[in-house]
Amino acid sequence: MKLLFLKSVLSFICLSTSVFVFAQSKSERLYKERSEVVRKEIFETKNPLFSLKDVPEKYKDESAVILGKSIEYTMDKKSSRLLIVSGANNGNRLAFYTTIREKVKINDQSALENYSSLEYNKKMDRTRRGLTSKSYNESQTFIGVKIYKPNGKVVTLNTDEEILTTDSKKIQDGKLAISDLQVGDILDYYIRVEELIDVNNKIKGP
Amino acid sequence: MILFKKCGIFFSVLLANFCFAQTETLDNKNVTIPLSKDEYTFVYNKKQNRVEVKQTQFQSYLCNQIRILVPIAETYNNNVTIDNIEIRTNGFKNKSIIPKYDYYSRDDIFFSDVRICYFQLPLEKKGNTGEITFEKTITDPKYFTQIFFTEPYNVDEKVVQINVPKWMKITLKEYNFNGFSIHKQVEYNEKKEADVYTYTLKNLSPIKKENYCPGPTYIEPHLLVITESATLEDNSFKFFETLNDQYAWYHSLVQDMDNDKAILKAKALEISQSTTTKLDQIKAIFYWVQNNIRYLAFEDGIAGFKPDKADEVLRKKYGDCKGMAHLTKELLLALGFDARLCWIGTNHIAYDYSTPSLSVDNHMICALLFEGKTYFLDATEKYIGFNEYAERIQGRQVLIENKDKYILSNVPTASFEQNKNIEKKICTIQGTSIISTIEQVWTGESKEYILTQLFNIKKENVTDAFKKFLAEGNADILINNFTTSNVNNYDQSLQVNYTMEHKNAVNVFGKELYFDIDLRKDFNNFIFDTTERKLDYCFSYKYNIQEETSIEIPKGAKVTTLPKLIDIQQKDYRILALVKVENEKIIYKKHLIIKNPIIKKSTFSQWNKDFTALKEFYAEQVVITTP
Repeated sequence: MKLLFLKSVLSFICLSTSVFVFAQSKSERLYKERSEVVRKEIFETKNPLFSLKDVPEKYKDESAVILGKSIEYTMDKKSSRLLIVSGANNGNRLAFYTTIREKVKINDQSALENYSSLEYNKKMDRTRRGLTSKSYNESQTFIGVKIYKPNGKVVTLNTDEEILTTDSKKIQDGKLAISDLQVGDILDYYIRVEELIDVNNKIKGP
Repeated sequence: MILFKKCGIFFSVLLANFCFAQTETLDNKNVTIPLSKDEYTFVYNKKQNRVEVKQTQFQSYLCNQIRILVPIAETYNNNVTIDNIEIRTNGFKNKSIIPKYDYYSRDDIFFSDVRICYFQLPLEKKGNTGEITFEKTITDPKYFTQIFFTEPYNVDEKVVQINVPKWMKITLKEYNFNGFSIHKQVEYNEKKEADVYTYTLKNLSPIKKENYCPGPTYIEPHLLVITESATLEDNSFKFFETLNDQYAWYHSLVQDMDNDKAILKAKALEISQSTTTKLDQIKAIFYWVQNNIRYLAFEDGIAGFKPDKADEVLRKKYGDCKGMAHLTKELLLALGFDARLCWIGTNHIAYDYSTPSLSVDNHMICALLFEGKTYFLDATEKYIGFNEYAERIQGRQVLIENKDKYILSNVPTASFEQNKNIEKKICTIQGTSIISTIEQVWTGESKEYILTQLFNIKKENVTDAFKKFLAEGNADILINNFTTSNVNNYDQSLQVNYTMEHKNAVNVFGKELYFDIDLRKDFNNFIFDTTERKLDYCFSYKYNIQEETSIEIPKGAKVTTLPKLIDIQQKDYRILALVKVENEKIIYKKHLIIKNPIIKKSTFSQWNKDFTALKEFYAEQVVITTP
């Protein structure tokens, strides 16, 4: 009887652990898939704002020269409609995307130091879960980095090299040292924050 | 650093850091620690087949004046776990206080495995008490290296107890016990089946940190724990009984690194392709690593001791000291040189390798055995030349990689001559202005200091910043015809040439002209407050400031007053300031030399006397009477 109980406990623990590990890996897989979609959307879509490849002569002696910069706020309407279908909440379920992209020429050590690493909140989940309802408040951050070398080579950074300074189920904070970045390079990076929030009669704007 | 944070979790870490900062400034009278008890016990964990150290740390707190939230913080990492925390307030368990666990961020470290457990202990009013017990496990005794005694508050009684079973062999070395009332007792405890080392301290005050003071191992009372070996009935463990053991462990971490030799060789050849001599090849490699690899510190478990692969450092273009030393070594090896890794403790640490311990060293550099001589290459010192050494490693013992048997050596000690800061001025008086043609040269760490400041400034502002620096920030000084030597060539001294127009430098009263002989007034007012300063003062490097100025005396004018000579020779420094008239010129010579960068507190009064004399010299003016 005792043995049976122990076996049951062990089975439960094993099951719980495998479910947790599975959930973790599923979450990671979904993150990576979304990350790839975002990367393609930003880096593989032609954007005239980021077409400049050389520094204008008048700026050649500057420390860092911003060749292109955009800050974009969008709201995903498809996600908003989901609310009406689910009826789980009386307010609005809104998905906000904030995208910051910058293309910058690194001309000296000071600029290299300033652009040498990224620090971000990778995931945040403050969703309130009830028995029959769910009030979303979560965000994910995706990053992408490309380096244009003076010899024409383009290096796309492997963001898996990030370090997680916080790695809990609900919060992940990341830190990424930009590898292979040197004075003379052009750095092209973006930070995309995707938030899913249930709001009550509040409209969030940029 | 590009920072993008939206949620508030980092506030908590900031708060913890703020709490630490606050601790030092809090009125220590408001909180005291009536009892602090720290107990360490070596145990054998049969399941894990390892020796562990169990720590129980108890501290009581007493509020003496007004309500206060006492910040409590305890660190842990990959080798140290916090197993239990008990919090009591006014004698009762307080479960409403929930400790937080976070990454511990430090500005000088990009990433480390150090994490922090923290919370605030509320002492609501005078007489309230709090008691905190942390239970921790150090999972590998070789990481158990130091026990410090002082606390951030006054402690009435502190007891440190180390329980050493018969099967465990350790050595305890006592540091900085002088000036503290410390009672030591060693006895065998049958119940614990262990030798119990007990250190009892009464009325212990916190040690206040001061600027430019020696590292904590020089000043704070503490024990260095050398865990040597464990001999159990059916098992034995060897830790660091001798330096051989420590080296063997270090060596095991750096051999068979599986570097991509082809990539490294191709890079080494590319870097050195335009060199003609062996020495130039070496310099090219050293300067390339200095210039192209960003220093980023990692202290992540075993990665805190094991260098990153050299080809990975090359690919990433960043690394910590170990990674940079490893890359320097491998690039030199690729060119056929005999290069080795070296472990070294900087001058921040009071120990040397006579005490085998992980606390002995904190840095890694590369040694080059070339033409019968050993050179040490530390590419983390970004702007220093080949065969020049930073003060922090000069004279320090260094453990050089040498297959199965290490070489123990010392980094050469450079004199103040390495760090020249020489200024030569030829001046004329024009009305109330002094016009000067100046040549200024910096070498060694003086050069490194200037270049570090310059390269931290945005390119477009560098020249202006340099000019402002040379003009001492004085709006009456104009710098023109400014030229510099190649600031990117660290193999040479840094030289600047310029003309300086110092407006309103001369005060005219009737026929008399008054002016200061020294524009820069180095070390002016550098007087120690002996009532406040408790610790020795450590300069970053040895200073060697020299100035030679010649001022043409206006035709027909006579020099009526000159500052009086000072010529002070002390063991640790030299002050010479001489003004004379020679061949119709006023000649000024200044030598300010700090031979020993550590100024002992016992010499502060002599220092103050000597530097007061310098201050008085600076205050005296030259007086010239015109016809």
